[in-house]
Amino acid sequence: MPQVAYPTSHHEKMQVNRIPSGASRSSDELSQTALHSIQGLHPGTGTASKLLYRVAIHIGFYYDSPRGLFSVPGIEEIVREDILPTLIEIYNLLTWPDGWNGYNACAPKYDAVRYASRWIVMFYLDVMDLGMDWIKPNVTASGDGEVVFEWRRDVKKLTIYIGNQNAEYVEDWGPDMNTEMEDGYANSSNTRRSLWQWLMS
Amino acid sequence: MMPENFVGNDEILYRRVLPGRNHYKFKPDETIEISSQAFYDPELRISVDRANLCDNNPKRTLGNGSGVLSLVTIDVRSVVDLSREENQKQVIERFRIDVEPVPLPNNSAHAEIHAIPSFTDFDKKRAFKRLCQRLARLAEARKWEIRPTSE
Repeated sequence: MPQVAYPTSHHEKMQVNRIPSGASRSSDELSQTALHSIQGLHPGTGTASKLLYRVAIHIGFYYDSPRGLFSVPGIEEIVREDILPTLIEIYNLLTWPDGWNGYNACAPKYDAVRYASRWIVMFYLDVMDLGMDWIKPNVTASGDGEVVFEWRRDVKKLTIYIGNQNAEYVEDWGPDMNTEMEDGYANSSNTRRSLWQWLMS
Repeated sequence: MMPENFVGNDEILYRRVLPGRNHYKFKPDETIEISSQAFYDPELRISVDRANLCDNNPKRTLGNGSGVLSLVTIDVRSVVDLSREENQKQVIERFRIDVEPVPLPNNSAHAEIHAIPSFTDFDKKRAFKRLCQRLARLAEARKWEIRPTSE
């Protein structure tokens, strides 16, 4: 049965538990916005529900449930635990001001943050659909205000730049920029899956 | 003594990296992974400080709690094969990478890594991102001038 990696540390799980507990108004708004990003995963008849169902199959929940029933709220909780720390990191980017890198970087853009939060959930579901392990990304920003996800596995580096409505990738597996780097758009499910298969191969 | 108006090939270049921005990551073997975003600049010219003009003291590049990594000028100038492409990988421009002094009123050691001919916004899609990837690998191959103390 395919296994799902749960690389989240105890600290990260604590972070998840802490999310709604911010005292300030901005903290509440941040929490709410992050949680809205996965509202598409609520049970229903739409595409998101179908994806949830596929996740359930792949993580074995459908068969292993003690009740023998498919439990969407349970799956949602699993998905949330895996992806929510990343969503929080994405929304935290909105607190970075201009010049956040000590030089002249632009502050992360709100539209990029919103799109990145949707994109990463779709990527996670694509990986689950492949029956492969998920690795939590490094979340940062580009100097242009894009959201940047990075994964590294041995010599391979996968970098995703998320703009307002667009995702671009750079694959890097060595110093030669012609023969050991590739780039392109990462907006489709097929491309995202290919990227993950490349990273994990 | 290096002339101030030319960056010599053997000159060391310092780049500040702030904590809390996920631009580096400590690995279990105590090495540090460096993100390509540590070099990303919206104006496509990457600021560095010339070590020679900082008395070879990276603390002069230091910000609050930051680390300082370094590059060697000749390694930067050796970055080749960067190009601008259109229509199914047809090369329409080839770049070379250089380092030039850009002294500031408050920092005479300031220099910039840039492309010749200059990158344009179009090159943000490909060439500049590749350059940042390459610079991160070059920096990783060297020891930190000032090792950051936290992520």
